[in-house]
Amino acid sequence: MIDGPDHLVIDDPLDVLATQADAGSAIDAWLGVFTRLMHLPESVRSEIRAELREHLRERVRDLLLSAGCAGDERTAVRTAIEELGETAHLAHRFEQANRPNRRRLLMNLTLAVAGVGAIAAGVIAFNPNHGALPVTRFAPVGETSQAAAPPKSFTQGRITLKGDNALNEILAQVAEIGQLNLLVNWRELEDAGVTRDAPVQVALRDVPITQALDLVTASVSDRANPLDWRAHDGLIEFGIKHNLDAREVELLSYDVARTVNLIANNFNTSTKDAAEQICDLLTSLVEPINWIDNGGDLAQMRLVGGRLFVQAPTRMQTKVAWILDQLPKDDAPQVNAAGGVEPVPVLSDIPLLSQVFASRGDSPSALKAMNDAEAEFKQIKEHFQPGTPVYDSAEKRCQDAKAAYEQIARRAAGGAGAPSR
Amino acid sequence: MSDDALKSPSPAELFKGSADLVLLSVLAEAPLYGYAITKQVAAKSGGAIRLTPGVLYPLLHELERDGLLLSSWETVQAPDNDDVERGRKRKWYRLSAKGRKRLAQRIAAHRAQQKMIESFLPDRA
Repeated sequence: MIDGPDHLVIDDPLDVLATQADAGSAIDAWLGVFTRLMHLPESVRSEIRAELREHLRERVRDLLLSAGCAGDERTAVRTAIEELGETAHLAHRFEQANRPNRRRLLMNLTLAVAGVGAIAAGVIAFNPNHGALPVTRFAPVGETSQAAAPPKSFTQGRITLKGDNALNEILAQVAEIGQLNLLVNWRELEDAGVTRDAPVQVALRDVPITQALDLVTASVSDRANPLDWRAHDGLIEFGIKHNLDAREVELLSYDVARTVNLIANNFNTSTKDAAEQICDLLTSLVEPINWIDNGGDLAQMRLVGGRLFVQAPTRMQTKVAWILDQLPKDDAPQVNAAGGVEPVPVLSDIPLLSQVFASRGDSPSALKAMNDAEAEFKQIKEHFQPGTPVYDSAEKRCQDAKAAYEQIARRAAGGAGAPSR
Repeated sequence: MSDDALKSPSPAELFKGSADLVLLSVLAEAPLYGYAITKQVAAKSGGAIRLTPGVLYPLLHELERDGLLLSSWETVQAPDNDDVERGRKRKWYRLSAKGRKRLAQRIAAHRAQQKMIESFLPDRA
C-alpha cells in the first residue's frame, strides 16, 4: 500500500489494481508503484513507464480476445502484469540494464586499487606540500580568493545518530552542530533515486561529524551514482559525487621537460615514448575511471613542449603532483637529509674496482670510468661554481680518471702515449 | 538416478543463454517494438519459445546501452480512432552496425559450439 506521497511501503504492488475503475487507470496505478521502485533518473523511469504501458495495453487487448479472460478486463490486466514477473525483481533488472557497463569500470577500478595499494606501500610518505615540481595554476580573471576552511564546530564537532532517521533530518542535524548552512539539490538527488526521507540505518554515538557524514553518505549512496559532501565557506553541500567533482575541476600545468628527457636518455627510449609512459602512469594510477581517455568524463591531460596540462578536480591534481614528484627531474646531485650534497659515486671511488682496473690494465674499462667522470663533471659544472666543494671534488675525480686512463693506455702501448679517442 | 534427470530439457531451458542471439537475429530482419518481438519469437518457434516481457525489456535496454541496438519512439495511433491517442508511445528497436557485428560473432560461436558438441555424439543413440 502507498503511504503518503513520498514514503512508499508496499505489501503487494498488484493491490493497487483492485481500486481502479478501468484497465487504463489500473495499468497506470501499477506503473506508478513500479517506477518508484527503480533507482534511476526520472527521464529513464519515464521512458520505461511509457514502454511498459504500451506493452500492457496491447497485451490486455489480446487477452480480452482470448478464451482465458473472456472479456474480463480485471483478470486481463492482472494476468498481463503478472506475466512481467515479480515487481521488485523486474525493477532491479531494469536498474541493472540501464546502468553503465560494469566490465570496463571493474577493470579500471582494479587498476585504481592496485595503484592505491602501490602508493600505500611506498617507502616515501606522501606529502602534498613536498617537492619542487614547477606547477602553474590557471586562474580566471577576478578569481583571487581560496575557499574558506570549515569552522572548528564542524571539524571538531561530534554527533550521535539513533539509526532510524531520514536523510534530510540527519543533514539538518549535521548543519546545526557544525554551525554551517546546508545546501542540498534535492531535485538532482531524487533524479538519482535518493529522496529526502531515505531511511539511514546508521547508529552512532558521539563520533566526529566528518566520520558520521562519510558513513551516512556511504549508506545512501548508489553504486551508479555515488554521493559525497563538501564543507567550505560556511556551507555544507551534499550531492552527487560526480557533480561536486565537476565543479572543482582546475587546469594546472606541470613542467616535465627534464623528466621526459631523463627517462628518454636513461632508458634508451624516444621522448615521445617517455611522454606516453608518464601519461599512462597517471591515467592508470590516479582514479582511472575519471579520465576521458579511459571512458570517463572528468579529467584530461595533454603534454605539449615539455609541459603537462592536466584538467582535473583538485583531489586528482594532488595525486598527479605527487606521482610526478617521484619521477627523476634531473641528474643533479641528490640533497641529503642534512641539507648537504651527496657526491655522485663513480667507479674510481670504489677502491676494489679501482684496483681491478689497475691490475688488469683494462683500457676499455678505464676509458669508461674516465668518460663517466667527465660526464658527471660536465653536469656538475651546470649547477655549481668553481671553488665549491662539489665542483672541486668532481673536477679532481675527472682529472684522476683521465690520468689513470692515460697511464693504463701508455702501459698497454708500451709507453707510447695515450691512444686517440 | 532420479526421474528428473531423465527428462528432456524443455525449449525454455535450451533457450537459456541464447536470448540475446534470438533477439539480435529477429531484429536483424526488421525493426520491431517490444510486444511485436514477443509475438515474432513465439510465431517463429511455433510457440515453443516464449520471450517473457520480464526478460525481454531489460535485455533490450541492456543491448541498447551497449550500443548493439538503436531505438526511436513512435506516437501510436489507435486503429479505431483517427486522432492520436494522447500519451501513447511505442519504442522501436533496430540493430546498429555494432549489433550486426556482434550477431555475426554470436552466430559463428554458436555454430562452432554446435559442431563441437556434434563431434561427441554417437551416430545412433
